[in-house]
Order: sequence, then structure tokens, then C-alpha cells
Amino acid sequence: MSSILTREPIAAPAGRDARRFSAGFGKQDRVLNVLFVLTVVAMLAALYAIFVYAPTERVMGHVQRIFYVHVSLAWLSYLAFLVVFVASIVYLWRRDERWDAAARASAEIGVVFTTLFIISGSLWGRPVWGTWWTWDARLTTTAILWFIYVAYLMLRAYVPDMPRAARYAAVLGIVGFVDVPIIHMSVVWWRTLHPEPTVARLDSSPLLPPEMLATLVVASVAFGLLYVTLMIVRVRLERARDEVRYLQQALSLRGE
Amino acid sequence: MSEPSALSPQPSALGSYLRVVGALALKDLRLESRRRETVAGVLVFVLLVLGLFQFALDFERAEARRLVPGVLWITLLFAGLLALGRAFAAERDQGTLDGLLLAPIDRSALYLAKVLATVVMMSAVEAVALPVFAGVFDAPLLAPGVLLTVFLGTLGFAAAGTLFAALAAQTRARDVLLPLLLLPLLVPLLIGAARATDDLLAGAATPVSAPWWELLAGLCALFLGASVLLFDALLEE
Amino acid sequence: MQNLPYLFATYAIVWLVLFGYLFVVAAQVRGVRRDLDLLRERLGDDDRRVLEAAGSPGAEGG
Repeated sequence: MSSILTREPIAAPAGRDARRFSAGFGKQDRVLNVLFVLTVVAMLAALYAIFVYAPTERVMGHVQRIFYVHVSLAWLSYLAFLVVFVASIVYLWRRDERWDAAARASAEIGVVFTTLFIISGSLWGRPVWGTWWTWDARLTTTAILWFIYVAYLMLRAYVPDMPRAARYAAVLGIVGFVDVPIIHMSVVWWRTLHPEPTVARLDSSPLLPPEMLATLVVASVAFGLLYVTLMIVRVRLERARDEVRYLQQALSLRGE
Repeated sequence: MSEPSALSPQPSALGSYLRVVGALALKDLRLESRRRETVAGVLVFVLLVLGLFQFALDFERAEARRLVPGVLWITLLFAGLLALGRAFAAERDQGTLDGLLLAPIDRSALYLAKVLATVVMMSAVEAVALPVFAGVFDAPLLAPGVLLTVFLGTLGFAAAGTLFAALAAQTRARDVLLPLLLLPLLVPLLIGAARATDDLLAGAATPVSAPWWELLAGLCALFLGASVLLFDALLEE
Repeated sequence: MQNLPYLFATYAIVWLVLFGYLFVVAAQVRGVRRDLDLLRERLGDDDRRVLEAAGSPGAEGG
């Protein structure tokens, strides 16, 4: 993205904040390595749970195993956007760029997870209910979420000017997240008006067998660890990019 | 705090705040009434889109009944986007935004004034558009329930729209960005308004399929409240 | 049993996208580290001291 050759004028980061650039990919790598290993282990455990431990669902057969990854991705998406919300608030309050970097990173990861959630839902719906898309409440709400956070990313792309982009994005991050419960409510009310004929979703049934619940938890934990790993790497990337911009400005001030 | 004298009572803080809001809104409205660009243009757009829907959907009078709420609200939504696009255009073109920002007023007053002006202008458009729709579709769109729904929808739209119009106005691709930012957030507004209108046109006095009016009112409160808090952050240098 | 292709496709896509994303981000990190090293080199010792005084980021080295 930003190479040494671009010369976009940006404001230097706040003094106190400037010291905290994690330019040190050195010793902090230990934390990241441990986390990565943990993530891989958790993923393997989840795979075992999903494909070996979990019972085969009576009606849908093995295709139902998509459910574990589908719902896990949903939860992690919501978590990612919650992080965007909190980071946006703290950023507007403290004006500390690290929080903006966290918001940026979480929004991007959230969009990836949401996209996968929608795709997995589609691939599950097709064999089970015959259609690639159903307007059920969860899928619809999450689709709208997808649009909101894609707009968040596009907003950042359209406004290269840094503190401004961070502020604008923070506003969207806050308003967007607060809107989510209302979106959900309105879609649920709307769907109860025109319910899908086959919308007996397994995950909304309270009678989830304990093995399936356990599998779901394991899968969610695995994806949660993946989220944390991705966040750490991504935030470091953002901070490093911030430092590049800062150094570029220092260079241009010097007259190069 | 000085004692208010009997001859010249101290104006309350709220009173002067509201006065500022009113003055700013009046300024915009007076400007609009002189040029009439926004209201006239949006109104013609609404009528045009109504025609386009007819050409695209090709509905007979009988089927149209089912589609009226949707056609009405989609049309209003896009008309509103046009109106919002012009909300900050004057300030941008004449560079008067800096002057406003330097004035010793709470920036949220600027926001509320824009919302008020937008609602008034949209209402002017709706005052003509609704009777036309009512006539074309032979639907009771002028019933008090429908009018309330339209008002709540317009207010909610203006509340969220003004916030993001102010944001988009300061970016490069403002015309593309505003719909992208606003429309997903307004989905519940669209659902609530369209379903409520549906219920009302079917003969109910209030929406019955769900508490749509409460939803719309809640959205208005949410967007107004959040925007008042956040508007400052948008206008900083 | 006949729906297994969908099951496979889903998991394949999920893994591919997630690991692809991780890979892309890691590549970007490498690229930015390169840029950082280049920039710090160009700034030279004097400026590094100036930046350090002003509270610059990686002046302490990373």
C-alpha cells in the first residue's frame, strides 16, 4: 500500500503515542508464535470435534456440520464489530491512534468473517432448503452488517487524510453498531410476517444435543483464537504503516 | 448567575440554543425559498421515479395495491438522498462552513438546524407527492396514520442522513459514499415505514403486524441522539 | 451422503480464505518492514537522534 515513494502529507502522530509504535517485530514475536500454535491446535481439535465427535444430524445428514463453522463465524463477526465499536469510542475520546488501528483491523477481519459466514450459509441452504439464499433473520441481519462494514472500509479508502479518516470511520463504527440490534429486531418482525416455509433452523432450536453444543463451543474457541491472532498481526501491520507515514513526513520536512 | 430582572429576564440556555437552531434553519429555508432548487428538483424526481416504477413493474391498478408501500418508500428514500446531497452544498460552494464553525455556537445546533431544514423541505415535497401517489394508486395515503408514518420516516432519514451528509461532503467521492454509508443503516427505517404503511393501507388505524411506529420513533431518537454527540467529531479541523 | 460436496466446498473455501488472508497480511508485513528499514536508513544518524528527542517511533531500533 504505502511505499516509500508516495508523498501524502499526514499529521505526525501524537507524541506520547509515537513511542508506542510496535516497530519491534522482534521479541513480541514470541507471543505471536505461541498464539499461532495455540490456534492451530484449537483448529485441529475443532476439526476432530466437528467431523468425528459430533453426531450426525438425523434430517440433514453430514451437511449439517457446516453449522459449526457457520455459527462460529457469526459470533466472531459480531465480536469483531463490537471491537470496532469500542475502539471507535475510545479513539474519539482519547485520540490515540492505536485504537484507530485496532478498529481498522477488526473491521477488515470482521468483513472477512462475515463474508465467509454468508457463503457458508448459502452453501448450507442450497442442499438443505433448495435455495442459495433465504431471507431468514440471522442471514439477513448479517448481510446488512456486511454492507455497513464494507462501507466502513470504503470510507477509509476514500479519505486518505489520516486523522480525518479515523474520526469519520469512528462515527460510522459507533452508529453502525448501535443500529445492529434495531436492524435485527426489524428483520425478525418482518420475517415473522412472511416466514420462510422451511425455516426450522437447527441452531434456533433449544433442543441442541450436548455433543453438538460442545462441538460448537470448541469451534467458536478455535475461531476466536484465530481472530486474536489475526488481530495482533493486522494491528502491527497498521501501526507499522503509520510509522512509515510518519517517517515519510519527517523525510519530506527535511527536504528530501 | 445574575438575577433576572423583571424588565429583562435572563434567557434560558435551552431557549437561546433553540433560537440559534431556528435561526440557522430559517437561513437555509430562506435560501431555498429564493432559489427553490432543492425542493423543485426533488419533487420532479419523485414524480419521475413514480413513472419509472410504473414502466418497470407494469402494474395494473389492482396489483399496485400490494406494491404501494414499497414504491412509495423507495422513491422517498432516493429523493431524500438527493436532498441530502444538497444539504451541505451551499456551505461547500460558498465556503461559509468555516464562518459557521467559528461562531460561538454549539455545533450540534448546526446539525439540528440542518435536520430541521431537511425535514421541512422533504415535507414540502411530500405534500405534493403524496396526493399524486394517492391518486395514481387510488390508495388512502392521506390518512393521519400514513402521514404520521411518513413524518417519522422523514425525521429518521434526515437525522441519520444529515450526519453522514456532513461526513461525505468533506470527502472526495461524496455522491457515491453517501448512499453506501446511509442505506444499510436505514434498512430498519425502510422496513418499519413500509410495513406500517402496508398495515394502514389494508385498513388498520395503527400498524398491527409489529410495533412499527415505536421502531421508527426509536430510530429517530437513536439517530438524533447519536448525531448530536458525534457531530462535533466530524467538523474538527 | 449425497450432499457431501457442499460440506467439502464450505470447509475448503473457509480454510482457503482464512489462510490466504493470513498469508497476504504476513506478506504485507514483510513489505512494510522493508520500507521501514529503508526509511530509517535514509534518515541517517543525526535525524534519528532528532526524532528520538521528538519522541519518534522506532528510533530505538526494532
